[in-house]
Amino acid sequence: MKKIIINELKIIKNQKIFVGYLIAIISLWVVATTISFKQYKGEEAVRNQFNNYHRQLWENQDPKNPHMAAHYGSFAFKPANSLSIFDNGINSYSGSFIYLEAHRQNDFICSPAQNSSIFLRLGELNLSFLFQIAIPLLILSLCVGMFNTEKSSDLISFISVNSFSTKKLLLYKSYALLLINSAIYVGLYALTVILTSIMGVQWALADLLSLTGLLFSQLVFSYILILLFLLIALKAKDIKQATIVSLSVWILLFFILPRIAVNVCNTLYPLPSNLAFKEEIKKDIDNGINGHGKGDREKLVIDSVLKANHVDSTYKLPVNIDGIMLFKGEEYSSIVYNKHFSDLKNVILKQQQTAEVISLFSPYLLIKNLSMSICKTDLRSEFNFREQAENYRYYFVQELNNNMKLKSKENEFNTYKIHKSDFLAIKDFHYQADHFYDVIKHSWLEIILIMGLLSFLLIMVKLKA
Amino acid sequence: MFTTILKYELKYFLRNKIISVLFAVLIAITFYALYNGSTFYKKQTSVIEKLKVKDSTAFQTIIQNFKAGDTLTADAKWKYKNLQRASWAIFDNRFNVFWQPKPISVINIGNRDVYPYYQEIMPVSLYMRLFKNEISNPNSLLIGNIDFSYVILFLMPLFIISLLFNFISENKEKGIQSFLETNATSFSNYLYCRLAFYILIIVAILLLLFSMAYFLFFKDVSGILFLKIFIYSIFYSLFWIVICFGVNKLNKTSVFNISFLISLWLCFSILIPSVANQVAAYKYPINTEEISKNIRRVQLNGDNKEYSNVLKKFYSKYPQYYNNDTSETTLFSLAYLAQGQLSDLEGDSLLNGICEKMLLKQKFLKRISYLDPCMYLQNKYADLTETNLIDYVDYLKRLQRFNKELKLFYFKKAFTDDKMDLTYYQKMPKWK
Repeated sequence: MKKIIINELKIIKNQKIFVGYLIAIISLWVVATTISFKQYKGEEAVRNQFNNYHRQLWENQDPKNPHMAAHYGSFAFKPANSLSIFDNGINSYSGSFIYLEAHRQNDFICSPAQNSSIFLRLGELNLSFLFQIAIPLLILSLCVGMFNTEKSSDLISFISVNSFSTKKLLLYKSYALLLINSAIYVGLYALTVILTSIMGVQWALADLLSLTGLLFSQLVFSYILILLFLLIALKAKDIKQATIVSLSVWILLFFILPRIAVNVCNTLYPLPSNLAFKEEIKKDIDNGINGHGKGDREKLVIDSVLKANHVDSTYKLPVNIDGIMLFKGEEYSSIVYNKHFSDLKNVILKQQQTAEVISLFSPYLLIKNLSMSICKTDLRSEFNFREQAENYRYYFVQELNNNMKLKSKENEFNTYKIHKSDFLAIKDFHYQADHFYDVIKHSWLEIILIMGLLSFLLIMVKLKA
Repeated sequence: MFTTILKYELKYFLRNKIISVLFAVLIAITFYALYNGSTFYKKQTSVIEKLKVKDSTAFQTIIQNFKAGDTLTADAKWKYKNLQRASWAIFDNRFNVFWQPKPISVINIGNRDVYPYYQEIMPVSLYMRLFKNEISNPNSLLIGNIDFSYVILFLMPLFIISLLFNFISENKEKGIQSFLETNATSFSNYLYCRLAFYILIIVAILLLLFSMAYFLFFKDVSGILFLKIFIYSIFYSLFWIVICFGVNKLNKTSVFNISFLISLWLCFSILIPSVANQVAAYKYPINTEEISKNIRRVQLNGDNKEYSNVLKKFYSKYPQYYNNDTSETTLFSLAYLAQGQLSDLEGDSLLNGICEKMLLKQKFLKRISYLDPCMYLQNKYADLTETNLIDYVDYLKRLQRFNKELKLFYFKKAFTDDKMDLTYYQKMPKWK
């Protein structure tokens, strides 16, 4: 086996196409790493700058009523993520910050795509493009010619009548190709990490663990492609047919099927318009408690507070009724917003899960989803950030409402003011990204599908080779 | 000879199972792409229709509240008074602005799914609402849409490559080239005849796809616009035919030809546009985080000194609005307006800066697009269907102007203490 693999490696090494593609891949790697690194550093600098700017504004704002401060609000900035150098995921289509204010839950605004030209939609050159699209093309071009010599010299017939089966031959060739791919992937990963470290990126141990997981997934992905294209090459009449079929499969799996899967899912599970979404929220809020309102529902709350405190007037309460109402109003509006955002999230997740099932036939979509998850640039991470930002918004708004409730009196709205020490007491927002183990736990579907696809191809090799 | 070759090629073309399958796939995807584009267009127009109804209802309510006047309940009186006082009414009235898609945009969704296309604005604090976007799944945006332009830009070249990658090499590989060369007719004439056949076939297929689009989805669209797009698409396809012919002329194997052509396709369709886009983003960087400076609510902390300071700053910029009323209520409401306007003024310069960078980016990419037919055609499609960055910038500019008109409408009355009446309301600027 060792001899065959070494022999195959020598043959591959001497192929002009291999050398040509290798040069192209290295050139692309240089460009992609530069672009991804610069993008990351830019994001890191800008987000830190604006995060600090808004925190300073918050801490140094003029004394004001706590609820006014809650209206003034704050911002949650998504911290730059070093793993995005390897896969930028949905970052171009999602915003980087959320405005947090009383009574409302806002969404991300202004994604980078929003100020980009149409050409952004033709693709982005980054490391994920290199690893997930360009290198598979190299795998394809190596695979199609792998049985050329055996076929032209009719060695295949000789092999099939001997104890050495074509299955074994295919597997040995696949090992040789996997070795070459592993060398390319490991080399490029290691070089990227080393170079970016030298240029100032701090890779935490957890990041390196994630990258090891990503590398392993990429290798499984490349082995799936190797088996697929080798099977095509083996079954094809000649190299020409193998090339045509393999390229058609590559285009179908990498360019057409993902788009079809995603577009079909959008049709199956349509998202509401922002207009309809906001109207639904407004309807629910209007039918509930508004912290500033004086309707029947608010009166009911006031009566229950008076009853609980055994008093007949809000002025006799030990706390500020306005603070209580604002607290209750915030509680209610948060329930409404959470319900509607959760419904929205469910529709998006349904789209995503259905696309994943369709993507069973597209290893590209599987690896793309897995890679984005590992690099924390996927939808789950976006939801995770939104949820943490919302928890923070709820925390600071209710802290301020509580301050008003406990420390001020009714009708002191214009006179009671909190100061710098109170603003400092509100903790800053810190986003906690998922740990690698959580990512793996939540990516079970992709992992099962990708392993299932590998097993299926190994069975196919056994049956068809 | 020409007709004989045409007949032979046509028979070959019709009997080739792979080509028949590819052709059927192309037709099916085209149909789906048109359906998808049409669904997207209908969704956007339906939202816009609802906005128009909402605006019209809001205006009817204003009329009703005016007609109800002083005569009815306390609530009606309150509403009536609010409508009369411009400095209060300015915060009660909301306006919906929208970027109407053109019916032709069915064939090219472009970036319309990324750009915000409607906003509910108030005359002051514009920037708090300007950048809010339509709900979308970012993952779907990343993968992209299937629309008619996708078929022409990406799939048509692949179809052409599949037809022509072995246009010359096949003769050599089948061993018939020497036979053809020894015939009376020159080999090159034979090749040109075949080439003419394939050009005719491609034009016919394009005609079929465009007819399908026109008769099924665009009965009301200007034929000339459609013809323009069709002609651009023909030239684009001819480019790929020429490329295929040129690669074949290198006299390499079919395997080399197809690998080389697919690499070219990858370069023209993805690599060059993405590198160009990244360079443009680097050359004209837009930090969306900067917008965070201008989207906060107007804040006044509740003392007359602060109100006076704000107004002083405001009057120094807008002396025409000077008002010497210093009663607390007036001072507060005018200071609130003034603060909103001062904040918008900062927002204006930020937006102008962003728009300028967007236009420079677009200009730069347009220049690059002359080197890449795929980029060029994509840009042309976006231009003709008005789904380009330049159209979005135009929408933002129109929105900015409309907002200024609205402000002027309210400020004229707010700072002069004049009451607004129904006749004045009927002169309210309308979004066009």
